[in-house]
Amino acid sequence: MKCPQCSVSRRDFIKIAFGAGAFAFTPRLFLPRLSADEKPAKAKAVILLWMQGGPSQLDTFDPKPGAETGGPFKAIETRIEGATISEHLPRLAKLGDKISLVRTLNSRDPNHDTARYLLHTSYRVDSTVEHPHLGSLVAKELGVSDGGLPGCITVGSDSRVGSGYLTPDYAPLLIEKIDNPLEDLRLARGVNKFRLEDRESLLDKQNESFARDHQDARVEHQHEAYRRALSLIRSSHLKAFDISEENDETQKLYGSSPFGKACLMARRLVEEGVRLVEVTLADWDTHADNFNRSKALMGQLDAGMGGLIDDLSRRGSLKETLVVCMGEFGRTPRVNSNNGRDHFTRAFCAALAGGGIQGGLAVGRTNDLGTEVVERPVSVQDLFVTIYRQLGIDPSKQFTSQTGRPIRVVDGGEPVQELIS
Amino acid sequence: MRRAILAVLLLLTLTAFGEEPRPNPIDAYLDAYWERNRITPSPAASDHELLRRMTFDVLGRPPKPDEVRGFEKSKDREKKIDELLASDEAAEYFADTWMRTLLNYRFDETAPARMSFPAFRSYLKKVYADDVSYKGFVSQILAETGDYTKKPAVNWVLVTLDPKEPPYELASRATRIFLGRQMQCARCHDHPHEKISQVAVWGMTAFFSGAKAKSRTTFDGFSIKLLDEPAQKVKIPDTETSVEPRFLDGRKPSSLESPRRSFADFVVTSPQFPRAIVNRVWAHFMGRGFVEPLDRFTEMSQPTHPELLATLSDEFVRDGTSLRKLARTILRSRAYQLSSKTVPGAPQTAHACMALKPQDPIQLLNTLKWTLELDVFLKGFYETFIGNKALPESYRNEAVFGVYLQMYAAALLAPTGSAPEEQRYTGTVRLALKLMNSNDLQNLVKAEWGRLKEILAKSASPEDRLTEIFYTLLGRPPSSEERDRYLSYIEKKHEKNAAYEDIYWTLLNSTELAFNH
Repeated sequence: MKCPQCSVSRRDFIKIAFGAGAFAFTPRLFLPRLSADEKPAKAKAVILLWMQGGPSQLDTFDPKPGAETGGPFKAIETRIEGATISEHLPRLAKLGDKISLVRTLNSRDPNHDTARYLLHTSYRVDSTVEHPHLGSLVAKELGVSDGGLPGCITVGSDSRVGSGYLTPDYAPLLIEKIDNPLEDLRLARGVNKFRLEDRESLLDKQNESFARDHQDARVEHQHEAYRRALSLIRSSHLKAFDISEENDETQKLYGSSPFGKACLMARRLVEEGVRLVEVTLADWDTHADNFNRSKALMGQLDAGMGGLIDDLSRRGSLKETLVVCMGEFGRTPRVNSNNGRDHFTRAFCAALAGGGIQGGLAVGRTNDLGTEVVERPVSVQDLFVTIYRQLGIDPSKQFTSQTGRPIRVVDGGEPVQELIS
Repeated sequence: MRRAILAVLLLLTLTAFGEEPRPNPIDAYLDAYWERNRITPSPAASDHELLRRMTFDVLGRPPKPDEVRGFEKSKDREKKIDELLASDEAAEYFADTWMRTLLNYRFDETAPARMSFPAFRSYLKKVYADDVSYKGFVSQILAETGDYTKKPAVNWVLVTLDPKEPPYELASRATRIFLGRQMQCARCHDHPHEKISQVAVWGMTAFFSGAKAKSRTTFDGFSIKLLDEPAQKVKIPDTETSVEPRFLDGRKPSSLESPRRSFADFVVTSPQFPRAIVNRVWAHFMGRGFVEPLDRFTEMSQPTHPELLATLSDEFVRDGTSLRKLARTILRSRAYQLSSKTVPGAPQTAHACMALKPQDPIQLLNTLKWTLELDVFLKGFYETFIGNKALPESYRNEAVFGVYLQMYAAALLAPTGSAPEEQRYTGTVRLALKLMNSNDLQNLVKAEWGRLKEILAKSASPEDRLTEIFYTLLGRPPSSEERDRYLSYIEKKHEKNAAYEDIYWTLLNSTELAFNH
């Protein structure tokens, strides 16, 4: 890992300070980068299922039935080699040949806001540079069609990560209400398209003299934001947000929860050319009443994610759509006095499907209590390198930060080779 | 001889004015700087431009039409500056700004349970109202002990303290905010470009090792107390090394009895202490710091105007570290009072014209509150917030609600994960959509609502109405060209009310409104 401030590898300092011998457990880091390049990138878009709050790995994708930390849920067989998952994810269990699990993600950041930033950017929060949302970078690198929808759309909740060092036009567009996605995009009541045209020309005229007197890039940014907003309001692609155009059978596939509906919306948006759609399932922060709450959330996740994978695969678009399900961290194996679990960063899970990801694998192993990684740790950077690689984006590509510092798409990390099909 | 007489005369003239014998150090410096670099600064700002600017910078809101008209008559800039600085609203804006600087970064859903927002906000207001020295204010924030409502300065340490982690964040935040220096790099390794070693960072952290929060439930409620216990050694993560409290420069404190007090003394006596705050205040008013970003003072950093930074810092210390006096000096300077019209060829760092300042989240909220009577609109929301029994007690108060609103506004301005006090407007589509097209706000741009309704009721003359709309939204009368354009628009439109709504909408969405210029 390199220091984000000064691009000096932390490892170098450790080596200098303490001798390489003290850190003999990191040989993997010293291996030359393995060539995954023979396998072509397959994914063209990402659907990120964001589990806000940090789901309990032991109650979802890394169950330890019978262990004192295991909780009350049973584990069921899956089509993933040698792996079981929670009994409350029955559909995902059956789809296991398409899904792979990473069970040994880990970080050192137990705070929601900063960990969410880390799992959206692969970087720690740093007050000297803003990193772009994963989707902003994907949109920038893979391109966005002219006059189409924005390259990155987040549905349901604000990830509070923006376009970072990229230009503002790559910022994620937030759709706040799943039930009313076009709230700000549909013409406001009492304003028809002619009136909007009148207003637009009044505004252009009004802005002329100010722009003449103030030569400042931010003035141009402001105008650009308005131009883009207006073209969105007038876009012919807005029907992609309307899931009622889908037949009943398809809608049923995703379940009736807002999360399920948003998953269906995400599929439609990706088909319309959006590069990354983030859908949030919130409320995983189960410090109290973990088991009842997790069970209810798993019902929504199982239907939404299961429906999405089913639907994508029968439409033949799963191979080019990468589905990633993760949260900002996991939860403690120890159950607290409120029957809850607290924040845990030493081992947590991500589930991946499609986009050229090899299905049916469980990468990494935790110990019997789920308290430690015992095999194949996967860093956040490793996961991001894998995602970018699947999209054909070079993770070592350099950009320039707002303050002129060179900065890579991902700093360090190795692709998780097993996952690349 | 003639020179001596002149000097005496000058002295006499100056002392005749009594309290203000010093010439403005900013003028003295920048006048010479401009001349040396052959820069012709922008002309002086008009009264309208200046009043709007000062009202935004000091009160955090746009000026109201009667204030604009009052200033048109009096034109007394110095009197206005003193009036603004002495007002209650200035204290409110000061409190909100420091809440943002100190807290937001760590704001999460558990924050309201770990501190008292109302007590801390009232404390900050009082700091401003009493013109408490900056030195005293920072000492209190860092070293105060006691109950979180009776000694409200403890709240910053309380909320920044993470019981599960070594108190690195406190040391790092304090160094960043109060000394303008970054320790992040050296968290993991010796800093390559600076003389901050990893041991020094964890040595600074160790000063907070004695900060302990004790919460208890008493018969009259819940209370949290912050203690300053003797310091302990702190282990550097991933190493076997433990370090004792040590200052950034490697010195050891003379006593370890009240380590936070020693830390505070180190901070407020550091030569970097006045420089960091002068830079921050300068950036607030002038739109650009001497050192940018504000927390990037290093051994090698090159301030844009080192001499002026030094002069202002010295004066700040001589004035007993009064933030209000510093603000007054800047507000009274010629550079602050220049027009924002771009001077071709002059770099931004020359301060040859006023920089454009995007509205901060507090200013944006206040703008919406004033122009759209958002207060009234939010009242229902506010009542469900305060009255929502499902929320813990600590959430249900105005101060927390205010912070939520600010976070919302901040996300509209620039969704970002970086330190919110430095969030800059990046022209987001989301804000544009909200302002021009959301039903939420469009329902408030109506002839039957709020400010516009009042304006239409007051006069029937299109010209009066138009003028009042301009005063309300932009703090100035329309230019003759604007007047003609809009009057003919009104004339042409069948639905007169709709025409006024369109004009109101236009100014609300204009670039001029988006910036404090």
